[in-house]
Amino acid sequence: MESIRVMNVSKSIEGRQILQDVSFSVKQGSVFGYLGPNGAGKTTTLRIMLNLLRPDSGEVLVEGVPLTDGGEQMKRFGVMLENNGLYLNRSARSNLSYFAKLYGVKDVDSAVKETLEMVGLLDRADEKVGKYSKGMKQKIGLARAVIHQPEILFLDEPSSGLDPEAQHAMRELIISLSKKGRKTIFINTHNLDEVQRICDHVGIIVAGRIRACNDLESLRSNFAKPQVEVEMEDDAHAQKAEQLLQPLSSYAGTQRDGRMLVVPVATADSPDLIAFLAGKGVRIRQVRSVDTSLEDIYLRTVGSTKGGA
Amino acid sequence: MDAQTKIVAREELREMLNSRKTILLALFFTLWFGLINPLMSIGSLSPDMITEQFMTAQIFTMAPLMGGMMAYILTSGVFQSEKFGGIMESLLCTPLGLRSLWTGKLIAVTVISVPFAMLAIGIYMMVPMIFASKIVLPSAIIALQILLTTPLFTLAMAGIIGYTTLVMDMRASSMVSMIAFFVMFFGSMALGPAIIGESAVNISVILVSAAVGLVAFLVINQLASRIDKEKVVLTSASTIEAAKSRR
Ligand SMILES: Nc1ncnc2c1ncn2[C@@H]1O[C@H](COP(=O)(O)OP(=O)(O)OP(=O)(O)O)[C@@H](O)[C@H]1O
Ligand SMILES: [Mg+2]
Repeated sequence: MESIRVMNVSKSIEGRQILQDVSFSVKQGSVFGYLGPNGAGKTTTLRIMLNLLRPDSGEVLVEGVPLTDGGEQMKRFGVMLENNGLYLNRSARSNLSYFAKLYGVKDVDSAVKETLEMVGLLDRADEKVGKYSKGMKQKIGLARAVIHQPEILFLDEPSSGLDPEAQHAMRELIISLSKKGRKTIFINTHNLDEVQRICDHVGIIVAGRIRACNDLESLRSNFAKPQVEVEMEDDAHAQKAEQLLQPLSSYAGTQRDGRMLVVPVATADSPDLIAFLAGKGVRIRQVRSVDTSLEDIYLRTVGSTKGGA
Repeated sequence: MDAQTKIVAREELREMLNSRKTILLALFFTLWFGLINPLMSIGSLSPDMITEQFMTAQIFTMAPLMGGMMAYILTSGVFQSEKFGGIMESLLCTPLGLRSLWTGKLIAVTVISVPFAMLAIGIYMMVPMIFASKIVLPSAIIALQILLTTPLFTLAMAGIIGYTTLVMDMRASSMVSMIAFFVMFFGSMALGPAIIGESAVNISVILVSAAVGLVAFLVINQLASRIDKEKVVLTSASTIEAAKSRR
């Protein structure tokens, strides 16, 4: 089922077009990675989804219902923005309990304690947030975002600026919120590694337009130029194979590096390739298919639009 | 008052009372305007000039001023730290409406400002009496000015500053707040004595000045009920910085 649908949203700020006809939807229970370079419009999209900005045209539906200004809808959302928005001169506990009250949480004290426990900062709860490390601040930001047990989480670059260990901790928290907490999660990021590890759906936005949007697997297969890596007995065999393949249009683009050949193939084609080469007396040591990485997809999407614009 | 307004008011009140900086600031201005200021001008007076009429006229002008000034000093901190510290956007993602946010903070500021303003007025009254070494009280109707006009001016000034901080960027809002403050300050310094003229302060003059505070508050209250979230977001520090860093 669809949790959020963004429909043909356009937005300009101070006369500059920031978003153009942006559409995508986020499935219930999925983790949606919204990818794009700096200034692409990720945060602006998020602000529109949170009703902080009005779209010039288009609309956002939450489970089929248009966004309203009412508080009830906001209770279903948990939000951590780019700037984690904490009161630095107050303790973690006081930050959390203020927001718990605003969200109408019934038992504020135990909700605060539970979320602090979840992020592993219960023992430092009474220190001022300003004294925390960036990673701890992000954790408190995340704790605050889930203090009222929202159904949908919006995270704007949750691990940016964190060291690898803190990034890992943040990622684990997000994964557990998704798996155990069964939350729908929308993440703005340009961290491809993160997307690959925690997201199942991806949207790529470049210069205010959606360039690709699908689940990670379909995106891979759409973008994939399937390739196989063939290792030959020795350089001589590799050279021979290269010469044999080059004239054939179906294997155009074959590249050789020593005794390795990288051969573009149609998906089901690699057995044919092996049979063909074996038939010509080329000795093959091993054959391996090569996956298209998210990085390839991302760079190609971003690159092609830059070249085209 | 809705539940959200109460939550905000209580939170802000607690924060202000716990903040040594806020209390010291309020105390400093209480002493400055209540004590130092009258001490500096007292030299030009002779003890026989200090009459009931003199005291009444003095307190009549000072009472609303003290309220407005205390609000001016205390309000900006209460709004600015959130708006320009990047917290406002997160608050707007909760069920808290801008209207409740504004009202809650206003209540907190007023609850803190008014007692300090009254303390300043009290000290202000003592100075001429000590100078003349006699007890000269202002006319009893001045109590109305202190109890009615002072809180109304406090509310109005806090409301204006809160509103401008919400809808404008940092520079514009400081500028407009300052202009509002000077209009109030020099307005009442100049108009106060002019309205009273030679005659004594009477009840209708007090009611007129209370009405001025009330109207100012009602106007800003009306404006505040129509604050646009988008306006607030686009003038917040987080948005502006992000936009600038890319140009
Ligand atoms: N308040 C504003 N005023 C003017 N322009 C703005 C404002 N906010 C955003 N923009 C512009 O909108 C564009 C998109 O910004 P946005 O913050 O949505 O990008 P982003 O994809 O989140 O980038 P990043 O990865 O750096 O966070 C940018 O070019 C930015 O300069
Ligand atoms: Mg952003």
